[in-house]
Amino acid sequence: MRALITGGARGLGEAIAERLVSDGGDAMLMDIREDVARTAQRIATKRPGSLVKSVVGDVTDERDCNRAVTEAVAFMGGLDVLVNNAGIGGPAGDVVDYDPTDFRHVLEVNLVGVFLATQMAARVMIRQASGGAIVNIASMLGQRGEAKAGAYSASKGGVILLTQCLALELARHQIRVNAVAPGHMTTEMHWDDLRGRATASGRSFQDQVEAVRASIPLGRHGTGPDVASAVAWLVSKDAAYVTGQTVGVNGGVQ
Amino acid sequence: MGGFSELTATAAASLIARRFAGRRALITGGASGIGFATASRIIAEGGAVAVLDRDEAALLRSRSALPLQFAEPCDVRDADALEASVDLATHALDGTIDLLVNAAGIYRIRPAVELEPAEWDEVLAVNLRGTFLAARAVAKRLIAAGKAGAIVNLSSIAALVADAGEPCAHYNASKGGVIALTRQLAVEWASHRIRVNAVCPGLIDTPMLRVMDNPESGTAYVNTFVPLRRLGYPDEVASMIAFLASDESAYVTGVAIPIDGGLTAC
Repeated sequence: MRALITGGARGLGEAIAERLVSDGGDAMLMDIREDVARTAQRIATKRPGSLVKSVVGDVTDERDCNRAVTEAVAFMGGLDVLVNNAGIGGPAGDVVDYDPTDFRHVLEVNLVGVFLATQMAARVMIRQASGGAIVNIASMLGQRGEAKAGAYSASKGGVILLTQCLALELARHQIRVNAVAPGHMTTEMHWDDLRGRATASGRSFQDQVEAVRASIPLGRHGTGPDVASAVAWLVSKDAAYVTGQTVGVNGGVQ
Repeated sequence: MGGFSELTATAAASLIARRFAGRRALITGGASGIGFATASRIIAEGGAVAVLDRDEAALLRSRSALPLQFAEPCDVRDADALEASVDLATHALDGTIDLLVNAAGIYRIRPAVELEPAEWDEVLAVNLRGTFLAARAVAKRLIAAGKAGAIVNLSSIAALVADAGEPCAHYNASKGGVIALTRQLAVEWASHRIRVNAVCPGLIDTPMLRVMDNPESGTAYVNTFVPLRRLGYPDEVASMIAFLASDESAYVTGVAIPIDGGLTAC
């Protein structure tokens, strides 16, 4: 299994790449952060003989997406799996006060980025004619809106609907497209959000973390491996009849 | 060519081979169809399985096909009988049931205006009351023992979309109820480390399937409405149930996932 993972430098993308490589796959990690190279080196040690490499690029730039897919194919000999994980939280804030530049940027990275990377990767998969699997990392907030998260929720809701459309269009090529919708995760994105909310509300960061934890039925934040195991399942033969779906990995938050 | 499925199959097989080592599962409706495929999958991955079913002939067949710890008749509508069966199954599984798969279910087609209250009651009793009673019986024992567990309920895409061709308001309502029940039990039992999820199969090649009774129109229907252009197999539903029953989905609870070849993405 030859996978391209966007946003692979850290957080969920790093955990997903590590899992897929440990399971026997090869991986190309794309990220806008230069330290993605170090992540790739570390993940390569997880399985001797694995092919793991990185490419620095911006998912909002079609040339970068094209280059990432081209390099992935050249390096691994083909492409079977795309994980659209690159995303940003954007600043938290009421829509009426939101900076249009911020709003556009969140949509650009979280939604247009998925479109661009998928377009490039799907063209390759169709040409290969050996099927494939695409997993988009959406969010619980794409399934239900939340105050002060307008841009992010809209972008992730868009990802869920784009997932359905892609599943319908690509089914005849045996390319399955699904999404995972994580809840509150132990990622820098979530901690950044809570730091912002702590500053805005005058409560401590620790209080914010505890308040979120108390709202999660399973009583803990989700982790990279929690999401990675769902992705590993969705790209495996075990999910051969699953397409167009969004799997919540959220500890029971409704 | 074909590298994708072969490679992922190998990777998956090496990875998941023993997810259920040391785990004990109870499967209602486990003697045929999706329930039987799930029993087979859990045993293949090292788990011990007890099966309840109403169909004694199917029980006999399943006993000779699989090394089951327990396979006895039970009507899931009957709370007292179910409690007794769960006690016996628990004993046969050396004292614990860690996993419950609620696969017992019936399907009936009847236009709503012709639907008799007794028919409504029967479908609701098996599909919804039975699911609740079995979940309650297993969760009660897990909570008393302070043990974690996982429950997987069989809903259906009929809970999500209507079908003019096969009118079955009672079935659809029962399966919609299963999703609501799943969410509520997930939240109520999360603090006891019992996860509760549902799967929503689409057109699966089982004895329950009616659309292929006429193979010609059935095939046309599948090609028109199922993006992957084929029926699903019980093994494929079993693999989703196995994912949700295993620690691979440790942070997943209260969800209902369709497995339908893209049917409900339309």
